[in-house]
Amino acid sequence: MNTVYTPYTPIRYIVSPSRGASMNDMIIREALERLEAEIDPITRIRIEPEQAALVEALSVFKRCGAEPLRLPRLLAVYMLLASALERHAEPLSSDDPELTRRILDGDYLYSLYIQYALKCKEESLLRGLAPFVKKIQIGRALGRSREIRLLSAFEQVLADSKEA
Amino acid sequence: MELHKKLRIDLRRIDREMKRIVKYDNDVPPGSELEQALLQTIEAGGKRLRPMLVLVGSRFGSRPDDNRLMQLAAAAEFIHTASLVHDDLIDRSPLRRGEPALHTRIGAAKAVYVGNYMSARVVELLAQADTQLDGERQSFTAVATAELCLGEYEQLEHAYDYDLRLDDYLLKSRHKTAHLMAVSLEFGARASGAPEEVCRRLYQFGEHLGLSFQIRDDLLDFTASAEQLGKPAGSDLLGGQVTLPVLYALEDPALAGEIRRVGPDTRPEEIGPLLERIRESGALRRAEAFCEAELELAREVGRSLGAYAAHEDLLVLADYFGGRKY
Repeated sequence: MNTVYTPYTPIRYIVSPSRGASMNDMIIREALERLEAEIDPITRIRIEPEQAALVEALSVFKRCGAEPLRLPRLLAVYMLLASALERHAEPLSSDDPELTRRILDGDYLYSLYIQYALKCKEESLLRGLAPFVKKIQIGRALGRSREIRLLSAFEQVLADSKEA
Repeated sequence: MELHKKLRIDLRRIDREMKRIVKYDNDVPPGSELEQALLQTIEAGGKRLRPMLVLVGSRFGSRPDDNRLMQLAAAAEFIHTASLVHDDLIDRSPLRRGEPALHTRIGAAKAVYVGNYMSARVVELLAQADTQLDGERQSFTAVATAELCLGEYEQLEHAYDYDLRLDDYLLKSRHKTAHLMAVSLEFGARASGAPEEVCRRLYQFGEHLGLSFQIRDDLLDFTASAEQLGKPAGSDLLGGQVTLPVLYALEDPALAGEIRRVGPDTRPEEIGPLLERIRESGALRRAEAFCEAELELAREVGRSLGAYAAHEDLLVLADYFGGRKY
């Protein structure tokens, strides 16, 4: 998941709106449109996800029994959190001229992840993910090389809520 | 008398609660560099304004000052502290309250993760909370500090922008400072079951109070000593922050020319005479009057809650903010 800083460039669609677009493509487009509407233009944040990663995420959400109408918002929540984590990923150095933007973008995207999850009434997802997000930060602070995979955390939380 | 004493708040309880939040986290290895960094950051202290605002807000409800509220108060300070740790990196500031900033001690990356841990831990605590008691949406909303980030973006966008409009300055200040103060009061009130209208007015009060706080901070860049500020006087001007006193000073054509010459390459020793001229220009007096007007608006909201004994605490806050010297 790449979050790039480009002045006044809107989110670029990675899937063209052709007649032959698959259901996955349409869900991805909707999720990206939702994000474009949520991200404040002053941040100049552009999210450029890899399609393969999004298709994999959708396949996990479906496997966990997520309703079709829920998929775009789940995907948007996933992209926000993944992008927030990616912006703060190592290496982070004081010499990096992009450090200021990276800190700010990561903080903004994380806050937006919470706000957007609430807006979409995904409180239980937010609750379930909270310990995973915290453990990822602890792992990073302690310099651990292996990190909890975010998609696995989503899978576990969604599967648990299905069972409950 | 110190503010916390006037408000009958035991700051040591807040600090103890903040440490408990760290120590009772089984995922943080005891004695690890992370735990040490967190505890040192807490021990470095601070005004603890946000937790005090949470507790004052809670006095407008039916469950004030209980243990749960103390945890929420500590959580508000976690959010604020996390933002300061990141701010110091964003501003490349080597000092925090006159002491080496966290990133100078443990490095940029680890400092970012200490701040992130604090935010993530608060979300986890709220997630564990009794949803019936707090109303989960409101609790989580208090952690969502996108406004704070927007204030930072706006500040970056307008660095050395001497054509900044007053409205843009006010928007940036509301985002960067006033919002979290307002939310802290509202958060405490909601958590203690205060009526919706009261929560709304407390947010309004906090916004006026927070804006006056920011303007006071702007003034202190000209009036306080380096020792009081923990950084050299004039740092905001040198760093390109177009604050309210600077906006007023820019209205004087002679001063405007000098101010507009301040840029990223200006050296600290070059702005001494300019600071003095701004001090003598009347710009500080006008900014002071704006600050006082915001406080008066806050007091009006406070007085409108006269049916609650705790409205007196709001007036105490307004008086304290008015007289703040550093």
